[in-house]
Amino acid sequence: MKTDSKKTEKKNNVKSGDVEKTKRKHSKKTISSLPGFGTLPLEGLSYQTVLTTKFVNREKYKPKSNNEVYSLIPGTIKKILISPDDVVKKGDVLCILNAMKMDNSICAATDGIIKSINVKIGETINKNTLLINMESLTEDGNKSHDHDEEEQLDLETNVIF
Amino acid sequence: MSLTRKLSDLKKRTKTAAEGGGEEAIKKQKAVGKMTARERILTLLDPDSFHEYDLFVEHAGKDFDMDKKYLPGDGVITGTGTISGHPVCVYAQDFTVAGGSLGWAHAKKITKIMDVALRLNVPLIGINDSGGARIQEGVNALAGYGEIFYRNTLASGVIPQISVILGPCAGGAVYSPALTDFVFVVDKISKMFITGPEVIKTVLGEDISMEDLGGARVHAEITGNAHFYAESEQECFDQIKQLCSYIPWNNTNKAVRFQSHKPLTKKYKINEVFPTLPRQPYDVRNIIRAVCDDSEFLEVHEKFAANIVIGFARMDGCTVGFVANQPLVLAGVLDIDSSDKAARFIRFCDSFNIPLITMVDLPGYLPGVDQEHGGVIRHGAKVLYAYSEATVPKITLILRKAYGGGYIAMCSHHLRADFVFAWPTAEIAVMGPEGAANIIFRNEIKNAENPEEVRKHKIKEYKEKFANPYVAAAYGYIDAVIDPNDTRDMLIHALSISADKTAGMPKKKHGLPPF
Repeated sequence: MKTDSKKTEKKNNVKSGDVEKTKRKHSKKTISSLPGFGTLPLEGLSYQTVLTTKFVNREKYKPKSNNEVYSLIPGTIKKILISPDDVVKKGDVLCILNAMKMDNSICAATDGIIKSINVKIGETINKNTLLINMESLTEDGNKSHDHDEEEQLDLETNVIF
Repeated sequence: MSLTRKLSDLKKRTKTAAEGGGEEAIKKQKAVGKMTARERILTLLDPDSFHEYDLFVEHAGKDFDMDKKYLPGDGVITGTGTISGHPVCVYAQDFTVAGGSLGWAHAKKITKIMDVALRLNVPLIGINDSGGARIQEGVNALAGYGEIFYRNTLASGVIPQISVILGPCAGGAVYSPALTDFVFVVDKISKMFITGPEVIKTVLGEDISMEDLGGARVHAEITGNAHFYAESEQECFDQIKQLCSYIPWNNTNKAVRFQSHKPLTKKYKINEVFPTLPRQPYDVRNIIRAVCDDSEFLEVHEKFAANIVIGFARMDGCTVGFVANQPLVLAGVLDIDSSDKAARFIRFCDSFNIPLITMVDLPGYLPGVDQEHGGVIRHGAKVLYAYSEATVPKITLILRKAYGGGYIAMCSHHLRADFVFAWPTAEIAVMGPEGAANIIFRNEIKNAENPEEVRKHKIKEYKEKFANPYVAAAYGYIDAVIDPNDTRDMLIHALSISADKTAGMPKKKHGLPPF
């Protein structure tokens, strides 16, 4: 975070100076020398434009599977109720996460076998930490978030903006 | 007691109360580059115009030995004055008195001056520099915040409300600025967050400085909580004075009209600034400067969501709100942040009788999972809502690209723009030629012997037929296709002819904008 903001700061200092230059010359050359300048492909056309730090740093999408149990809130692990190779049912409490003055139950999203536990009791964890790996015993564990078989939009019939 | 003695008694009392937290605390305040609360008010307002009230208010704390303490003015200065002759109500929290902490009497002083502002219909300026709630006063401090927030909401859209963050503003306190119209921050001095670095450290074990978490730059660039960013307090006060010159005192008035001045056409030439090829970038602010009075443009949210430009300028002496896509940044697309930014500005202008000029040059919406999952649908809808709802004069000028949903959103006739003009370079179409040709002629391209050649040919064909303003003009969606050099005259005429516009919405309690 610290290095990020420093980068931004540096970028912006240079940028404002260059914008001044652009104002004076209005030439294409000066604009294309702006930091962050790049191309943005949209609907088959590549636009030459400045890409903002926020855009460049945007979170890439990662599909999540029911086999991976993530924390949804930062906190401290208070209890772990399972051990590797345990068989659990959908809805079973796997561990207790103490967060925001509450004991939150982290439950299994699918029937399955516990493969590994990646946290210890007393450990402070952040949001989106991988807590537990499971192997699903039902179809939905592996398939529910699978994108391969997703229906493709038929562009011939669906005209979009 | 004789009058002379009574007067000297008054003088003595005034002096003690006005001293604030005393020498030591003032020294500390100065050491971090901050002015005192009183200096701030005196710098901001016209000389000799400040009149203070409630100087002798005393704090209401009873527990934890608080009753033995004397807190001058209870840590906040309130009063009235003028900025360039405009009347304003103002309050400034005094960090030198108990860290500017908000207790019951402190809040009472603020809400009292807010009530005055609302009753007298004059703008309210709040200078925030406070450690937060005065814990010793418990729920009474919370009650104080609640009363302030409620009045911020009541006053919203009735009088302009300006928040100046000149120190910490943390926890619940941040919601007062967030409810007001414009938030000013100063580098290294302003700090705003709901939960501070210490809480984050305790809960997460993560180290982050106040500056990186909620410093001025963060709010000006990343969160968009701040509308104006300054390097120093002095610069900040100059910005406030400038803003005040553009906005009216309340929602029943128009902004003060200035003398008309021609733009600096030698410096800002439309022909030089503007490229005709749709994919080439340029700075749309230079187009605004090429048409507005004196080429003076006060940009709001300069560093946040720079792919849309918003701000104030004058046309023929009258204040106008400009909204323009910025092809220089992210090709000028609409996205979550730029939609939020534009929608709020449009609503401000509509509330305070400021006509809107919209300059359109956008390829559409930004594609991406982060955008879709971030709710670009409901955020994007805010722009449509704000434009449709706005009853001030709305003039739209299409410079170049106006594709798809973006065309509709950017104050098209369909959202009741009063006049829509287009330059001959405008391309109004359901989507860009490349994308459209790929869809319409999909099979022809696929089945051709030389698909690439056919694709190019079809794109060219589509471009010639649809990438212009005349198809839309033929349907009356464009009122006039104009010579770019006539832009200023056309805009001024359109504004002056719609000055007495009356338009209303159906009777309702309130609408449901997609917040």
